[in-house]
Amino acid sequence: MRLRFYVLLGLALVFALALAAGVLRPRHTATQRTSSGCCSAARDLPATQLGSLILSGGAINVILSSDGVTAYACGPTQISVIDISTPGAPRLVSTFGSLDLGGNAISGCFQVGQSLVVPVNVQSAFVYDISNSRNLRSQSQFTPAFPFNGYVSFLGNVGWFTTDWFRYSQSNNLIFEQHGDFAAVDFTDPTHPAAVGNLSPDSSQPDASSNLSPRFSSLTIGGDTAYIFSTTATGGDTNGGQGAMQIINISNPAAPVAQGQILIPQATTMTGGAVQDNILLATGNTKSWRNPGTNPRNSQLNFQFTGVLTLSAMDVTDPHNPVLLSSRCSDVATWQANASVLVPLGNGFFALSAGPRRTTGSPSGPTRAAD
Amino acid sequence: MLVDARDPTNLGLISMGYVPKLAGITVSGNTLYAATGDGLAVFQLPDLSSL
Repeated sequence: MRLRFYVLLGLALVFALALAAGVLRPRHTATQRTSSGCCSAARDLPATQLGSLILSGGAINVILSSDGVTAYACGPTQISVIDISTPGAPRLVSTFGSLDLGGNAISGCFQVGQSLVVPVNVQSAFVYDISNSRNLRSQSQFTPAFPFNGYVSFLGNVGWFTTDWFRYSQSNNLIFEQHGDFAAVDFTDPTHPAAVGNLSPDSSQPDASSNLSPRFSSLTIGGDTAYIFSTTATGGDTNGGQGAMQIINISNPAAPVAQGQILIPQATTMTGGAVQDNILLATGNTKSWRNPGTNPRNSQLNFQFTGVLTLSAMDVTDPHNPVLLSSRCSDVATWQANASVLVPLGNGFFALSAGPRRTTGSPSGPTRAAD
Repeated sequence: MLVDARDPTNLGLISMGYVPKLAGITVSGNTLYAATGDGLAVFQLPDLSSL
């Protein structure tokens, strides 16, 4: 009887210590005013499917032409020009760029003015003129400053490229390095894109300026600021960090300067965001890349995220000083949810695409380099 | 998914349905265009006034 008492007492002490550690452990530097239930399930309000169109190689994102009746479905192998004058019956008009993209345009298209910018792995990019909506023309090809470009945000004619990639050992599929860069390209003359500058590590802001963590996407705000969606995870510890949003002064594109970062509770990595009415909705994941990159179910190579979607809201009335309002996770397993899949709908609603990342040729996507 | 951020201190998450191989989306009016691993899918957004 006495032995049972001590066992129960010990269990109670362990539980109390674990609880205290969880409560007392500092998790973030930003102020969190509230937090709704973590990992709660989503309820249902179905959308109605109107139509569909099968495309060779599939699509990664969709850009709508200003003519109102044309869409560009950008896939890893080609850009499909689609007549959407009848949304329930989309019709393929033509395809473009297959010789350029070669199955390696895994990030889709990004629009600046009347041009589409298409990053192509490992370190190339193409620009296409869409001023004549159904008669695309090649404008230029250029080499971005860094490899593995995953996303482009724009401020005026300047595009800000983020990269997210890692190195791993082929002998055991272990990631041992992570990388993320942030670089500017000027598209004022889209026939001659010009590299402008990039964010360098800065000892005065070592966390917000580090290029040793993946940077999954960015957005520009306020005319002089960018937010980069990243993590504090570095090296081989892909899941040891916290979600991070880096605040960057981009008033001089030749010399962007890190201003600080906000750490996001419940997230291991941040992936994207969109702003509506001074509220930034940011997406993330409770886990980052699987490491080692071996799927335990079938022993196949697989570096996909292993966690669930997180959502965070920030007040960005002052873009230089965003304030975290809330953060929650969900029951939605997802590889990615960056800004290309988050759309403001008005009245406080956002549409969000959440699901496994589209990959080509490997279960992890080519954002990696094998050693 | 639909995110209800009307109260940003209490984010709501609503499922609009499962779309196989879903990737990027864009919206024009009440029409949502979804890029998927198979191509393009077009949806009408649900009536949000009931929320």
